[in-house]
Amino acid sequence: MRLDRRALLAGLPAAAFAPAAFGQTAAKVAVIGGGFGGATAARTLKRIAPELDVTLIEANAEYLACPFSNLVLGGLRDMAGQRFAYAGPARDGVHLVQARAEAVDAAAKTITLADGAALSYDRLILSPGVDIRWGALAGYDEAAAEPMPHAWKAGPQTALLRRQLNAMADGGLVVMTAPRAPYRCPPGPYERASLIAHYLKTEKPASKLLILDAKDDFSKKPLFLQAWSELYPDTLEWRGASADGRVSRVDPQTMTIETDFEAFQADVANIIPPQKASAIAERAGVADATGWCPIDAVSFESTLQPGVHVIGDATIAAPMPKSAFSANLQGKICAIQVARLLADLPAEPTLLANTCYSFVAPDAAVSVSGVYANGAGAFAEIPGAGGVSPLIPEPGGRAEEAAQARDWYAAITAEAFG
Amino acid sequence: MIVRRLTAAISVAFVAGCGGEPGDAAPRADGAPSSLSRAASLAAACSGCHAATNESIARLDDLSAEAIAAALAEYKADAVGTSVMHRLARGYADADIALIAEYLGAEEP
Repeated sequence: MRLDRRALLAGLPAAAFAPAAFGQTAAKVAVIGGGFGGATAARTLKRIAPELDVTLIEANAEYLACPFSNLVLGGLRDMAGQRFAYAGPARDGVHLVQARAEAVDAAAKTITLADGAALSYDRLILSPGVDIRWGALAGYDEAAAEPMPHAWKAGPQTALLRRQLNAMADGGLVVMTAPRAPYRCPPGPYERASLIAHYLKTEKPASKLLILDAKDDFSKKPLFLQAWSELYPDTLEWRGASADGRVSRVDPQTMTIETDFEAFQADVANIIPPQKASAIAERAGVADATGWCPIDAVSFESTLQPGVHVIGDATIAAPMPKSAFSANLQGKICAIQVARLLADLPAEPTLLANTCYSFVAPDAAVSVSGVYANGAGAFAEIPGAGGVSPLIPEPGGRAEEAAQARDWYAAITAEAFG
Repeated sequence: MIVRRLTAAISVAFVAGCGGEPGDAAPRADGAPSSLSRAASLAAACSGCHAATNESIARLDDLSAEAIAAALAEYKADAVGTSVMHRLARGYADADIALIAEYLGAEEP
């Protein structure tokens, strides 16, 4: 039976391989989470397998993008440029369900929504993003995120931190804390520090920014250190873990941030706390004891729950970073593999890539790239490929990468949402 | 200068192909249509950057398979190039470059 079907498929165009062609109901794929991963996966499925019944479940009517939100914090960009509705997925024939997914029963293949409604699926793609690990840093609970915003999910937190920076008097101290890996957007804290430092240097030149870091090494470190010493030598100070940079406790009442040996009184505090896969991942049973989601690197299927594929920041996919680029590409690759599995074809190994641009000033950016194979049981960086921008750029090189970053943002948001 | 020209030569068929089926429609050896092929999954890496609206990153939708293959091969062969495309091209075998170029080039503007 299977052989016959395969032989039949071989003579048919792509549109004919879905079960509908065999007189059955179209296979149902549900996607939970309308970020760069989920929105892209849903659209890609409709493009490559139009017969599939694809539903995107997302709690919000609009997505608020994290990439480029550091420019908002630096006063260089309006929040409106971070907002995306789901016109593109809707136009492509994706069913949009605006609701919070409360639970997933992987054995019954059903999703329960916040209003109690149930949805069934043949395969589920979960693109849940991250949640803050409240309390993992002593003193940093949900209430603390008002006086000490994390701004690590774009939206009200971004606006709040921007207001606090605006309201701070010249001569103030901004303290930013960076967590140990893994966390969303590895170079993100350092791009943010650069753009806040630019704002302070330009508008409040007597002010300082202190970065307290739980680690000694970070993405694009030599490039950031170079930019900071050239551009913000009197404004920005970075302390790594071995220089007593690891924060042990915060007190939002007194705006105090403590390391092992020192305490700092901040006028503005940006606490980037430890993170984990979003709560729905835990409720679906796809997160392990680390808080993140183990997956098969080829199919993105959870190793804990069959039929549930996980993509984006929530996954354990190192050395692929938790970036919008990674989530978007994983969405496309996962869509292809889900469509293959629904057509009784095996998932197929491929190469994946990533590029992350980081602004170090309004018109200067640096980048890191990587290429990854997924055929040997995990993601593996291709030796000799990838790497970072040169320390000594060609003339105009940093400006060129800033222009590329803007093109990238336009392209990836259009592919996911536009 | 060369980097600029090459960058301008590489672009996006996958995005431009939203309305139709990217690549040719011929099924592969495993019975998979080309949209589910390894060429499709390899080429999926391109469309996150290379869109038709780009100014600084080239668009691919008006390039032939030959032009895409030549540009990628030149990036890969340039041992001292430092652009994003130089760094990425070094990760792809010649056969993979051929698959990507054929897949993207098959998308007519």
